[in-house]
Amino acid sequence: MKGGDTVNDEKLIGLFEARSERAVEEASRAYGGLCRSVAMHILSDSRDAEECVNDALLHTWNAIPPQKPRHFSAFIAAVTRNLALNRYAADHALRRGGGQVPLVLDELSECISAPESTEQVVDRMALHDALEVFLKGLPPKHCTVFMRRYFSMIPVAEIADELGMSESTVKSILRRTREKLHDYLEKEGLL
Amino acid sequence: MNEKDLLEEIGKVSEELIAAHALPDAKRFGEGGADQSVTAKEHIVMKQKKNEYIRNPFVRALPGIAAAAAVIVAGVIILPKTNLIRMPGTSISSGAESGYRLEIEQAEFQVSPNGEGTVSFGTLNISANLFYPELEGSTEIRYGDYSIKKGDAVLYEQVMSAVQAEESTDEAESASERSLDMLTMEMIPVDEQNAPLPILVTAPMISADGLENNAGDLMLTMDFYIGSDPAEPVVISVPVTYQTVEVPGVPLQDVTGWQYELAKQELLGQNLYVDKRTCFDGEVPEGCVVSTVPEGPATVTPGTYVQVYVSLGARPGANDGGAIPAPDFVGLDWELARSMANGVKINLEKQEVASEEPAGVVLSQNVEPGVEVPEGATVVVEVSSGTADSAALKEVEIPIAVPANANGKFYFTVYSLFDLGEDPTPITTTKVFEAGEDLPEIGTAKVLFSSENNGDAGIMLYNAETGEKAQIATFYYIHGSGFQELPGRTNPELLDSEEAFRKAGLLK
Repeated sequence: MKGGDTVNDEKLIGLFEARSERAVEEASRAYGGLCRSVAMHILSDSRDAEECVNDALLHTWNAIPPQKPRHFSAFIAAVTRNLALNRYAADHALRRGGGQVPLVLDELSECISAPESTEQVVDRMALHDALEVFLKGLPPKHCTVFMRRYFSMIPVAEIADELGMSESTVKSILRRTREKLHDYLEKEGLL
Repeated sequence: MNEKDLLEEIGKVSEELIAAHALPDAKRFGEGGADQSVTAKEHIVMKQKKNEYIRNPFVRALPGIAAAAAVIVAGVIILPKTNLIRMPGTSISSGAESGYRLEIEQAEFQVSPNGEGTVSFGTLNISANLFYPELEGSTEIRYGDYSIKKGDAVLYEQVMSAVQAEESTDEAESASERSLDMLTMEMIPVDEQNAPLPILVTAPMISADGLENNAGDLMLTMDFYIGSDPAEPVVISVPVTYQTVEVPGVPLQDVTGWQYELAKQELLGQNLYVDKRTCFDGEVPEGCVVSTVPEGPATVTPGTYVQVYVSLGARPGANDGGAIPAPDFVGLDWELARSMANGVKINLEKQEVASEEPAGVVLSQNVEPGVEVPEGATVVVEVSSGTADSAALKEVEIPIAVPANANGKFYFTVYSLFDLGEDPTPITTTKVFEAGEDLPEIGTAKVLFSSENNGDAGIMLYNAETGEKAQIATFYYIHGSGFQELPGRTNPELLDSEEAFRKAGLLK
């Protein structure tokens, strides 16, 4: 199941490049729901999420051109996600919100080594490259489950429902993949 | 790096990855401006009627019956056995607040390889999804996942290679001619009766606290990885129905008055655990049971811990209550005074006063000794807090008479009289003496002792060669002043030396 990489995407990008007023409207119609979903999983407050989606649309408007994403859906989802996470970090300091972030961070902490290594400076470029390689090397279904969870922050139950799997299978795949990621990062000297 | 870094980096992966894997179909969310994303459906499964659940603590699960079809994947037949869930020893015991616990000891999956390659195992998940309307949302029973090492499949690999070896000599058949059944039969390891041997996956307990129904469904899922990584897992899910039945509790006898050892045997024999405690009791003879918690006779769950109070005999100095003459505490060590006071049921209140007397010594009391006070009365005593240099350790010397006909090597240990073990832990141990030598004065061995603590100590004589032992002295020690005169006791108290040496096998 792929994200919405449809013919409309090319048109959408065209609208943005042409600076058409309809660009944002069309983008919202096509991907507003998806973006809101991502934002809600992170922020769990609908007003915050709404604001976030709007910010993402604005950001996208400002970014295209000169950027020309090949996958519009991916682009806007990534923008939304990262804006939402930034906002979460801010809210979290004020102790607001709930959502998937604490769970996800908890799960991801398994991929990291023990606290001693948190002093290490992270080579972000190396991590970036390593992640790409790792994810591309996964069996497709595993990658899908992993990305649904850790990119889009979708709750396990929803992933299971969407992909037609049992929750325990989803958890199993996530767990196994996290272990693999941990081993991989260790092997690459990134931990 | 921390997990936030990782989370952030995942957000920056390539668009291809995001587009291909991360995004659900946008159409699921309807038009922009539509309602929130799909929320998890709520599964509310109403099982038995709530009123019917069994509050009886003695229930046991019967093995469930699994119904599942064989799954054939990539040359491997994976057959869940029909009697899939074996739950020996499964028990459901009453939980504290919320009901019962289900424990599964073992689950079996049978794998019949058919073709080349090895089967390695993924993780076994056992999950039970039982939802209780009265709880918020849904309750997922905690499950475990257990990795099964590749070595567990060794049996099959061995069979595989044996068959492959056979293959090379068997020219008549080619792989394509082999029927599935034949291969299956060849490759399943069998026992003497040709019954297939399953791979046993031992899953240590999962617990399902909160079960209130007497029946339910479990889902057992197992991933198999055929061949080596990366491979798609094959997942088998097997629904299992379990049912609880009553099993009888066990009788807890009334063992009061029994000798402890006999009582212990009785309780252990009923699969109960014994938690031995001691107490003073004026009526129950030493070594006999005063009471138990829970009290017998009763019917209890097997495995219950039963507290058994064993009598130490009458409390020293106990009396029948009423008015008692106040004891004379002056000159005694505070700890000693306090135990004496406890013994006669008087409260002692301590006031510390600086003094040249050694620290801890009672200097005075506010009730004249001999004056009658009611039981439970409080007597205030002034206790020396010592001066700066009175805290020095005082070493004492206990002379032990060595009989003239003593023979062999021996040593002494000093131990606390509160150590009731068979072999008390030594506080100090002397060197080894040899009868006839090493003795500065004829017929006496000296035991030197000092300590920061006060207390009742014993001296144990040990035969250095055989380990036989006998108590040979007791004393009461106060670290500031060493020995003290004790009312009604000599200090130190030397026991019959000849008797002790004889007991320790040290007489000629």
